[in-house]
Amino acid sequence: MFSLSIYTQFPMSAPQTITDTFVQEAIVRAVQNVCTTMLQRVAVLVETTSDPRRASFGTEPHVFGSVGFVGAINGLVYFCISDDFATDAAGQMLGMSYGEVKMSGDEVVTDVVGEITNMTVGGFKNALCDVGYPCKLTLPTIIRGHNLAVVAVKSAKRQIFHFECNTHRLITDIQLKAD
Amino acid sequence: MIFNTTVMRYKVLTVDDSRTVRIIVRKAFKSYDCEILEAGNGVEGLAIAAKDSPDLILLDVTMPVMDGVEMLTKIKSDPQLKGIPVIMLTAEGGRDNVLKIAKIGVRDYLVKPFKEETLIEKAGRVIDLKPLSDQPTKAKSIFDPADILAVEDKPAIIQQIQEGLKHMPWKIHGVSTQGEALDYCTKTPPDLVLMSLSLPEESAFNLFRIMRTNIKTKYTPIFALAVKTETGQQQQAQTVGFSALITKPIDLGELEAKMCKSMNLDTSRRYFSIEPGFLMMRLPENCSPAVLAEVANYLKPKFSEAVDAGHTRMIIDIHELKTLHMGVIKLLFQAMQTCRELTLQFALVGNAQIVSECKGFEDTRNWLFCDSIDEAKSTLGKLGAAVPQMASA
Repeated sequence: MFSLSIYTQFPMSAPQTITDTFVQEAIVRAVQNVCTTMLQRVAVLVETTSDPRRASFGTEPHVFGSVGFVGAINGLVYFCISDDFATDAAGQMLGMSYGEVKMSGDEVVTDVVGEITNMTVGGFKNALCDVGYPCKLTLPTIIRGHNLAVVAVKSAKRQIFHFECNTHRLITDIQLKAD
Repeated sequence: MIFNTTVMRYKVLTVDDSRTVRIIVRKAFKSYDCEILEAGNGVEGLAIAAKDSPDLILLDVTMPVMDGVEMLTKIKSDPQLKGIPVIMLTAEGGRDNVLKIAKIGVRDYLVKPFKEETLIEKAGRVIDLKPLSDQPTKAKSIFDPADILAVEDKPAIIQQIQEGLKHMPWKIHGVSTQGEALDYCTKTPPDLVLMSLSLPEESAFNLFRIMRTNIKTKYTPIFALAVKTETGQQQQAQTVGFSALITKPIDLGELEAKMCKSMNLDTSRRYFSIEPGFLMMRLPENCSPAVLAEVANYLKPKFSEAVDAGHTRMIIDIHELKTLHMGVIKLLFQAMQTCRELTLQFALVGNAQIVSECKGFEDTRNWLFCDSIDEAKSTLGKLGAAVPQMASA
């Protein structure tokens, strides 16, 4: 049986207030952890905004992944990368060349983006759990296309973060329900 | 029709709705003797677990149809399945969730994102993972490079080993502490480790234990280096399971032979080679009992291989040999007997000392020697099907 000591030595304290800084630090940690561990790439935060027009790639083909979390806190995180980055990421994660990924078809790329989104949102959500907001992940949803736009969840606090990762842009759009 | 009858020792069931994760799991285990079974949700997972009785289940939490927590609960309440160890592999890593799931009964918990090495390391603690060794890969020979790690706090010993084995294509990397050794093994799992037992605070034995629990070094040969008079340490090394014991002062010939054997290197090319038109067998300057045993082991397979490839002639070259003794004579008789059995024509090449020593033994005084390889080739060229003088040898 594995040791639970790291989880039991710190009893749950009263929930801490979720500040913008907390959200930023948690998502940066989550994105960087996923990029380093799964893609062997370094991700750097380059922009933070709440402008909804900065939440996607416009006319460039891109892939949206979204995973929510429900529990003591509710929210939804959109993860958006270009088609090129998605293909590159699939190659890195599955040990395939660019050509092999293209040959394997869209389903492979879509599944990889779903898993990257799941891992990233998982990391973010776990940070919320550990400061007193126990919640659970929902299943990922993936959409591919261009000119896609994210509609803001009603009464949600929205923060958008842009990362640079190996010359690619990666966008996370976090919408936390105010209640 | 030929069927592949390879049976993997272990079955690992990965239950995850993400095909990506299932591919990564398959990739991570591909060089180990494991069959990977896949399920996309808890219902499929339970069905496969009941049918195939896997040795380990890797289980995600968030899945459609039936999630991982429900599947785990069902496994633990089923008398047939409850003994199967489960490692959670999930992005659900919040403290409360982990505690809740751990209480149901899991062997380990790995939060995504994860490194394949970490997964293998954790799985290796539950099942005795062994790298696949029966792959149709070319056997490593003494002419292939190998990474040797020498863990020794006395630089002079490392230098002596490096110097003494410099004729081998091996990279001998010296480190002086346990930490440096572990760092090295993480980056470059060595082919063999030489470990001094005189490292401070018994750290050699600690390091040995750590290496044996790490999947990357679990099966790496580890030699203990001990001072000849330190019998207590030597006994302890044998008890804990060091692959071999080398005493200081180091006999480099003995070390090299043991290293070759432990790394399962094909050393036959030291003594046998196929030259245009014939098989060559060469004995070195000093034929220790270890060398003689090694050559004797290769005799039949190498001779048969040559005959199989269409060769009918061979040269037994002992001109480098310094002195003749019973061991060498016995081996040469064995070689000649094998030649006769396979109807291989052969010629002997010797030096003046050996030719003169041969005259002194009843059994060898009739042996005829050529002075050089060229002369042997020419003799073989002139001979017919039989080689009368040598056949009497």
